[in-house]
Amino acid sequence: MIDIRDVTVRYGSLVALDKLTLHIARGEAFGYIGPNGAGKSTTMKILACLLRATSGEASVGGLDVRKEAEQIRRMIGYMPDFLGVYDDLTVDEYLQFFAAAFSTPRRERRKLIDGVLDLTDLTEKRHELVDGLSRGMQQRLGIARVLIHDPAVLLLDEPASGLDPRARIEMRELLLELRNMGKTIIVSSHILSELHEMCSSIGIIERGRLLFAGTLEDAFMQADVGRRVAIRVESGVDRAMALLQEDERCAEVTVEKSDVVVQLHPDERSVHFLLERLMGQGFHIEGFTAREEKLEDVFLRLTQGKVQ
Amino acid sequence: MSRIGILTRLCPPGSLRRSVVKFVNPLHTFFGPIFQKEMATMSRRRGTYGIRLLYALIMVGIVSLFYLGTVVEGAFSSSAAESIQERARIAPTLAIVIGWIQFILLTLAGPLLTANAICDEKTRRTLPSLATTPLHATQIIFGKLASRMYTVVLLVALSIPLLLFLRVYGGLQAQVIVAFAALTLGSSTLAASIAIMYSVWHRRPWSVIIITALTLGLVYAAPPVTFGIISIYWPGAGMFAFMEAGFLCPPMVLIILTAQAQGESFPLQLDLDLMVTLSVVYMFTAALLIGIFASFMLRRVMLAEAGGWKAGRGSPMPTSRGGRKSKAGRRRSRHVWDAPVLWRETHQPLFGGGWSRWVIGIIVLLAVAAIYARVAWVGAFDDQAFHITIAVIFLILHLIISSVATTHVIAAERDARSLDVLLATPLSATRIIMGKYIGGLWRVGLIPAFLFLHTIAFAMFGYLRPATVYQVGMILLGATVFQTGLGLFFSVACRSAMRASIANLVTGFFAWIATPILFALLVAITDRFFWDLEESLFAKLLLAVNPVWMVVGTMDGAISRSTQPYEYPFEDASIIGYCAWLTISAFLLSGAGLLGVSGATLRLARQSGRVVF
Repeated sequence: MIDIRDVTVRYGSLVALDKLTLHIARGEAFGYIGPNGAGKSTTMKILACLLRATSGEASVGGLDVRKEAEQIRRMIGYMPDFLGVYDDLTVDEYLQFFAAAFSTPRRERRKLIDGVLDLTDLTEKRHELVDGLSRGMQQRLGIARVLIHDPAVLLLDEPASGLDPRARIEMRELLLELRNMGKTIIVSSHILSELHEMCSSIGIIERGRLLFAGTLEDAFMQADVGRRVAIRVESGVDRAMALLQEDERCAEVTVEKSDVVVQLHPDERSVHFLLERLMGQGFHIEGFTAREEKLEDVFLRLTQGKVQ
Repeated sequence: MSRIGILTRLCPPGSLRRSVVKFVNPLHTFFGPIFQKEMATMSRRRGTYGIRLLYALIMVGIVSLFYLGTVVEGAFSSSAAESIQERARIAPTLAIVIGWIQFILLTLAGPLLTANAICDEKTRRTLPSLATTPLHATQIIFGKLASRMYTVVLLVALSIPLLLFLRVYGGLQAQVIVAFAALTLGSSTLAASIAIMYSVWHRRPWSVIIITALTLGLVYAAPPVTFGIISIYWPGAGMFAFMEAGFLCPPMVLIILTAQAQGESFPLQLDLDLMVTLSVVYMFTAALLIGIFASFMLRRVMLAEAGGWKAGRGSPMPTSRGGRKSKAGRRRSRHVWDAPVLWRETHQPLFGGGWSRWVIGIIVLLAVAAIYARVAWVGAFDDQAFHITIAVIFLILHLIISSVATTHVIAAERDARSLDVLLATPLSATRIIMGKYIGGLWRVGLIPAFLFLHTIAFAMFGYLRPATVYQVGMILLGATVFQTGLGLFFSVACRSAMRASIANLVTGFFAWIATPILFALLVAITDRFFWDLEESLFAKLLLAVNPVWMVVGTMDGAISRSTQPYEYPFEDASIIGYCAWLTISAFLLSGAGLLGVSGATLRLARQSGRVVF
């Protein structure tokens, strides 16, 4: 659906994107990760036909961003990192404005606006001024706006930035719903745990260079992040730790609170040997919990902790 | 509770003393952290140096022109005495022209420099952050005012050596030069303080500029109008009032100063030095008081903005300390047209919130009604002066409003960071630009409509020639299309709305005011040695495209004197010839304006990689 090949963007001496190559399949939810100034927004602007690359090619749905910008604009919904709103319009007028801008037939507008307001839970705020909405609601309105012309591709630049925890959860659920609707989504965020839950693939970019792009599983593999298991023993935590440290399948064994936390080697997928070994030595197991791998760990490993 | 009691509660004695001591300390109030921050920011902008350089070049250019003229004159003149005599004739005029250009330009520059001072803080939502600092509101207002006036002081200081240089050829006395500089500084500071006051409770800088221009017009026009009214009923009292309170109108003081500098005798015995001093003191005192009032309002606005109140909406000022949110719930959504950009532009108010529209509307209506009532009372509907005054006042007002009406349309979207969203739609560049342009024309239509109706009404009743309707229409068409078209171009080309407004106002100033004056000066310098510039086609064209000049000519010839021909730009022009001239000038100006619109369209298309149509 989205193809970027050797795209470079320079602002004077600054290289914002350095030969970026990326492929995102149809229906994929792609999490774009990187520190501030890494080139995430620049990539999105190129795809939204707002910025021309210094060199390289990019296409959306097989259409060239340089030559077929008009068709691409109808295919995409772009939400910038800072949502500049028309403060003198109501929510309804704001959405009508963009529906008209996308030449949506007048008779269909009402139905479409009702639909997106319902989806974003803004029906109650329909006649309120956009500027009077809270930050979270404005972000949701931003999502409603990008959906007004039913685009196949959504480019969402930091949609959850500045939101409180409740609004973040709402935003995440909304994006999951959009993913289930079959939209191709590129979403950038600093909150990595959220991307972990809703993205099927990720890309990590730093200083204009793409460090990684692929599925989450690939990311964990490449980052050498093995499975983690927390084990609670009735007594003899130190002895249990020493025992597991001897096993070469365990990469790292630590004690967190009263749990023995075992980090397995990346290629090790089974965990039953831990139980067998401990029980064989007479330990009484009180708890055995597989811990989620963290995207933060992947990010730090892949960027080698050098992110500024 | 007594007043002292309330004061003590609001501000404990120790705190009050500290506040007063801090306030009277200029280092604290004027040159505090805000001043330093503004100066640091300004020093990083290339535009700051660009403006100063441009100004210096213009001033040096004028003086160089004069010097060149004297050199050429020296080569051609028969005797040295004749040459010196000629220089002495021109030098005072040149100094006065520079002084007047400087006065008008810097009086306009004051509001341009300060109009965005607080508006920008609102747009960036930094006011609540400022409210949490120990900075006093006076520090914010006067710090911003002082930093911006620094530029004006520099520009005035720049011209003083040039004016003093002209003294070599017999220019103005040093005392007169200082008086010009002081009046210019005072006027600019007063205008800037009015603008900063309005910027406290407006969201948009261009609204601030327009309202400041109207207010300044009223402030400067009120004293002479009052003296005039008093003179009608009590002639002696009117003269007395003028002598005692004439300093309240700085342009009038400048006119008297100019007359005296040119050696013209004035019928009244005036102490001009005292008048100038009082005028300068009045302007700086007024600016100080306005600044204090603005500071008081700013504190409330800062707290109110933090509480959700929005400037320019609902009530003019927050009603409680914490402010309150606008009554959005009572609003009903309107129906958006198929041309959304045009719809939005036609629904944008020119003056911001509803209350200010009403206030300004009522003041203007009352003033206009008073003029009409007075003219009707004395039966002077066929008086040229009446029609010329109405036409010139409303035309100048229209030109100022047109200069800023379209400059924000793209640049402000860039400022508010909503442009990317608009450009992500498939709207073509032409649809965006034309929507913005027609919307801009719609917004500025009120004053031309009034002037047009005035002409139609008086033509219908036989006071004006019927052809005047067409002539006024042509003048308005050309000037409006030109000024708004260029404004739109600047809006696309400039990074911020303020820069675009400044660029367009400066263009308008040079096109309508400075160029004819400079041309006249050029004629005065060269008329004896070069070709007859005054009678050249260039001169005719320069005047024919000047709306103020032409509207005076139109109204001059509009009174039903069927045998008298029009005088401008050709002498003894027939009605048909005059109408033809106006048509040509309207086409030329409209063409230039539409060129600006086309430039804006192409530039936007190129910037955003979209199709033109």
